[in-house]
Amino acid sequence: MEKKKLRSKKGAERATRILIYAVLIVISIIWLIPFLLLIIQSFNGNAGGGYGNSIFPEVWTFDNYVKLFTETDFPKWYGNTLLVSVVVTVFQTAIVLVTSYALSRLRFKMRKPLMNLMLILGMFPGFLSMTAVYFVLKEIHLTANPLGLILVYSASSAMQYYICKGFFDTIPKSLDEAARIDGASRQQILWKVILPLAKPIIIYTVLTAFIAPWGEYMFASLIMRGDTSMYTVAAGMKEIFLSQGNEYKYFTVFCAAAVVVSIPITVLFIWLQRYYVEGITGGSVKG
Amino acid sequence: MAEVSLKHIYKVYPNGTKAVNDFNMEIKDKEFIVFVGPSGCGKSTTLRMIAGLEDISAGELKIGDLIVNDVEPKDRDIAMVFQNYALYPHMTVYENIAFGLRLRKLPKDEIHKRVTEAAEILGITEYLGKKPKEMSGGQRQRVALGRAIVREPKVMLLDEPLSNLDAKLRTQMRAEISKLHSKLQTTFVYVTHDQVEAMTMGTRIVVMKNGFVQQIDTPKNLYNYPENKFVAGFIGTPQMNFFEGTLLKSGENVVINFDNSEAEITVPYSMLYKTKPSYLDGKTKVYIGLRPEDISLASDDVKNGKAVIKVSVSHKEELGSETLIYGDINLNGDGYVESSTRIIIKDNCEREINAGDLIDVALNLDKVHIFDAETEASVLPRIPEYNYLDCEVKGGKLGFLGTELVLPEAVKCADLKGELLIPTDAITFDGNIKAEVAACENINGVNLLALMLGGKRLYAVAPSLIGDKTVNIGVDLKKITIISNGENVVSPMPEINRFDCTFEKRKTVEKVEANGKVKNKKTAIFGFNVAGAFFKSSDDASQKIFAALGIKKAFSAPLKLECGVCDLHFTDSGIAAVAEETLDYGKEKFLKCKVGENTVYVKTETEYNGNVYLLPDFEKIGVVETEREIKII
Amino acid sequence: MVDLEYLKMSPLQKFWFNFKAFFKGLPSKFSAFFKAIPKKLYKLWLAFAGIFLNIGRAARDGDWKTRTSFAVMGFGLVARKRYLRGILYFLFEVLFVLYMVFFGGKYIAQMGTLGEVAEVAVKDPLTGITVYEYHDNSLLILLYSLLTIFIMIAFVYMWYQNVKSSLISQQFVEARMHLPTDKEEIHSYADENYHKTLLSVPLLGLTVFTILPIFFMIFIAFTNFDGNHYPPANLFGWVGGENFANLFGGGVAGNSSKFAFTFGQVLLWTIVWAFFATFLNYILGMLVAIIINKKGIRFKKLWRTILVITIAVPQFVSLLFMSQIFSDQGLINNLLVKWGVIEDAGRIPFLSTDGTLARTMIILINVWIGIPYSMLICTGILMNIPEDLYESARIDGAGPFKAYMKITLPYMLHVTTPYLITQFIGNLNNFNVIFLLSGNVPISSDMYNAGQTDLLITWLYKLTMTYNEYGLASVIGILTFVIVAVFSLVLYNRSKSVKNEEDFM
Repeated sequence: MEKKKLRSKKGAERATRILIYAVLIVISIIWLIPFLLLIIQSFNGNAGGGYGNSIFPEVWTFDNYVKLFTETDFPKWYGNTLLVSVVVTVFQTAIVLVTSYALSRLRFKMRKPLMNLMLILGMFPGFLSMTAVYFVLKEIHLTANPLGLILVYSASSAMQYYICKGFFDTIPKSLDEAARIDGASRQQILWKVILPLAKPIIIYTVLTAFIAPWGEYMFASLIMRGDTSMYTVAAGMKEIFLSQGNEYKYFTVFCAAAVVVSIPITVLFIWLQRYYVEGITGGSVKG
Repeated sequence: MAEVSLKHIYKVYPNGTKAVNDFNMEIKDKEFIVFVGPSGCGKSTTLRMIAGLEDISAGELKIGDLIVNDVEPKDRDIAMVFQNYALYPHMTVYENIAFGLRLRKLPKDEIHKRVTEAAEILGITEYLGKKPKEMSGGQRQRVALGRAIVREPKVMLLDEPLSNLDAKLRTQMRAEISKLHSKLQTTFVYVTHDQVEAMTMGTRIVVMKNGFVQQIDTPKNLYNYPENKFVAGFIGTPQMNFFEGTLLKSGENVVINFDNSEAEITVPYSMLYKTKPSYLDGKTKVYIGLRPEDISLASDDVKNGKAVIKVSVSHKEELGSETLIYGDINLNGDGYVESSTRIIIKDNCEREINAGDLIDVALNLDKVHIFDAETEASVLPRIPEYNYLDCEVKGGKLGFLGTELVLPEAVKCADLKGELLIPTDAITFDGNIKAEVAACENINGVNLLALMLGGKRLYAVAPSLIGDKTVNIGVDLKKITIISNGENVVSPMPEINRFDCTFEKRKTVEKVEANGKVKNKKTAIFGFNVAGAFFKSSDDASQKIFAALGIKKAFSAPLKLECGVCDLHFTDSGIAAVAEETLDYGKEKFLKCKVGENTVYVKTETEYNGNVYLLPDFEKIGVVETEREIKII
Repeated sequence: MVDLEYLKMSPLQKFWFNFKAFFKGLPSKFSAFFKAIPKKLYKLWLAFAGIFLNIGRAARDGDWKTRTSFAVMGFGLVARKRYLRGILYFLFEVLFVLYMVFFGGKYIAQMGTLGEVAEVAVKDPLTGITVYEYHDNSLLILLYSLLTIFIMIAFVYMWYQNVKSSLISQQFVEARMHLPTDKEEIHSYADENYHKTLLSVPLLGLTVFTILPIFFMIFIAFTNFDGNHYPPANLFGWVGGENFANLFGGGVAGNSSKFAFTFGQVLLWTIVWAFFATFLNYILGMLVAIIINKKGIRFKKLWRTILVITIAVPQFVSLLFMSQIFSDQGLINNLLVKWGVIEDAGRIPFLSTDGTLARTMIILINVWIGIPYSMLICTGILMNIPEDLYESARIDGAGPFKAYMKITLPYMLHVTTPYLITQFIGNLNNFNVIFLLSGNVPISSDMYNAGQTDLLITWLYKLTMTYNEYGLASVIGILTFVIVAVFSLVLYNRSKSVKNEEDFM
């Protein structure tokens, strides 16, 4: 009797496990198929493959990639994006780190109001400010110039202090106090105590800062609209490849471009995945 | 290597709560001071104020000869050990210890020498290359100690350094810290909530509760002479037994009655000489405290003991060397729950005792403590405040203890029979009453003299130890109180005058000679406005007021100026006062005056009428902010 | 209290109780929020009054050096040997005056009209041909006058600081207290005042590129800036509250009632969308996380990585690709036609004409995008749940489902509340998903320039970028902001984890 019950329990467990594997496989298919399709379409030799009617193309070809790098401005966009994202990463990381340090470790009168202000500013629909930003940039002759984009992306980075501050908050306060008694100024505490302990969050900030310009489309297309060769990849792919009437012609090229854009970011991401997970779970979600 | 002096230290938070209240203490060089108390009592806050990690709301903190209220922690020459060690996780032990020295830019060789020395003292040389993560709690705490001693600070501050360690390690580290103290010969200030740590390590202990200092004394005195019920209960394990009861004097004995119990014991009145007589009326509720170790089950003690009571045993705890027996003096009571009749007995039990037994126990009456049920202050103070005597006034003469004193004009009263209160410090040694010296002891620097007069005891504070058999004494009549039918017929004269005042800025024009020319130089001066009169304050005093109140608030906050009766003098122009009457105490005369709302007294030689002008001695004044009741000077 | 009664309830009753309590509490939460406003305003007023009090005090108590600082900034400081600050104040004053005289002044003067002449005829002296040149530009006038106002505010602030620190220096000297020397002051910027050093650059960026544009937008809401009044060829001007009146149906424009209707429709869909996008993702993500982390399931890392890859691919790539394959002529429709599931004429309008279908598709695709994120977060928290909680539950006889309901879910909800709030607010403004997926949905005829799937924010985008209705768009922008801000301030400031910030230290 006992034995039978035990066995039936084991059987039920096995059944659930099989069910779970089935679900996981289905999930994996659902999540992977679009990307496989994307890759396959990038090798599609039929003109306007997206509007074809088979999963696997009749003609396999590298033409899309060749076309991408020879006939379009894509290499320029790619270079622009790389430039912008590297510089933005430097600025944004610096700004986010110092803002978080100030808001987390230092105590001053305007601290709480400042945090609330940044919270409120973050709720403003970002592109509503685009018109004004555009004219500000135009007045200082930075439109159609990667510098302008860098400025826009970096300028409001302070608002992204939240996760990083959450991380800093978890470093015990007594470390600062011990350092102060040891004779360190607040500046020395930042450089010699806090930053060496903040490696995970620094990597997280670098990662997010680096990835963002690759996917940002609105500001890039507005600020660079004077010169389409200055676009970033996101703006270019949306505005040129998929502009009204062009989708048909450029769809497979778009797919090729998507693959080229995704590869470095995916590699980077999977390499630093641990820090990313630590960042979003440790920082924004605290018990 | 320095003294630390805390004068009227306050910590007041913006919402008005006071974390530390009027903390006063002189810590001598090389002392090991322990702050102890339950969590939230303000002990850590006080320590952090000494460290400079917390602002001081008011008061004066001195380390050595320097006022350090506004000095950054790094410039105070202190070192601190934290409860959670606060080691820098990314640095090796060596770097952790050297960090402070490197920041101070010491030469490399010197750093190396000091670090290795400190590591040797603490026995962590082999771990110098490791990171804190790889070490155990005890080792980490040693590193934290190393980081502190390597700086050779004037004062070592330790904030619950052993709380995170397990029991065995704690005992071991306790000894090591004591050893370190005797080796380094510096001042240690140690915070803990564990009274055992406090008792074993401290040369003096500060017991705190709710921001107030309860008692500052040596471990032994804290144990033997707790000043209130809190201290009595906090020091010693298991806790002191407290019973509710009453005291009734009958003849030369005092009967102690326990509430909710049949128990009743008799003690000789001599034990309660210092107690205020009103406690002995058999009605006033008191707590009777007796430590578990002062209760005995031994058959000899029980047989010969004078104070034997019955206890019903509820359960016991065997500790090996001794047994804790829990019971109740209320024979129907429950010894499991703490109550006013529960009793704990510490005994090295010879005979078998079981739950439910009814046993006789002998109380060691020499060690009994009695506390007021409401104020919880000890009613057996080591230095009594007053002598409580019966007296009779007849024809302008005060009769007490078989002697008579002529009452001067100021304290003259109608014929009555009543009670006389003479403060212990009101007995002078220049009178003509002959008294026998019964005993003389030095209690924390105060010489307490027990005198015999008319067959009764009289306590007095003497300026020095007196070896004579008899002394001639007198009574300072301005300090006495005579009570008749529950009313104060004669009240003591206040010793401190208080004036309402504000702090003000004035401009003065000085003639300054420079380059052979006489120039008018305008300077701003600060001072007190007392009833319209302005007195310049010393720079020191002004700065204390600014520090406590801020420059803006200093000029608007209501203040009280305090000065002793003898530190107030007559002048030609000063605080205008209206003389009300002259109080003649025989040897001395005092003038009672009105300054605005305040009544003040001033020593005088002649009689005055109408308006007089007064001047306080500004060397000896005190200043209190009335809004938050903070003593500034 | 009802504690005991509460404890006796079944889980369902408890949930219902909490659910009701939440909604019952909501009005009081809102009212508490609004009630706190007068108190805050009073505090603000006190701070404001304090400023004037300080100035008054400086005028009354100050000596001639301090009083000179009223006109010559920094004088009182230099006179008391605080050269560094004094000279900086003075330089600031000089620069400000120069700026106002040569630049800012003329824009401020034009602010009332936003320009009067759009073009002027200029006769070329050489050729004699009359050319039209742009003259006033309303946009630039508004922008620069705003900038000038900002600079003026900064100047007033600096001026006040100058007066205050002059007075304080004077008082310090008088009280014979130690006044910080220049050297000490410089050092303090690496120590006590380090926050000023650190925050100056981030805040400057924020002011110029975020705060200034926001004020610009708010002002635009009170103008008639649209396609017919588009600088530099045309000027626009102030119209007061006309745009707001239009929105609420009382305006003069013929479209006003349609406009109000559209706003209602779009707002409703925005909230529905945010709700689904947040909670559906969260719950499904948690389920996936739980089954992946279930004991005995192998290849955990593989399953997780498969999902994580989808985060790594830039979101805009996935969204655009999805919008392409689900389009009317897209791969999915083509395949369905080929396999004979549908007729060629009956192509399924996944993301186009059918509003309801498009909305459903968007939510589903968003689930596809969002699950990996919530899975990652839930995994992190799941691993943090102490194992002994489950062990004690097992000993108490709880099965996996019970353990989930009693331990996992409450723990997750407790920990992730701030995350959910952030997500909800983020989804209210989620531009990317809607715009990239269904940006080309035909405009619905009964709505004012909006499609069925438009959120407030994408509608806004269309109004500005496609139709140049800047004035109207700004109004919607302000309203969107108010809605989002009130939501989040109420939720944030009432949630425990934000309040107890110091507890984590």
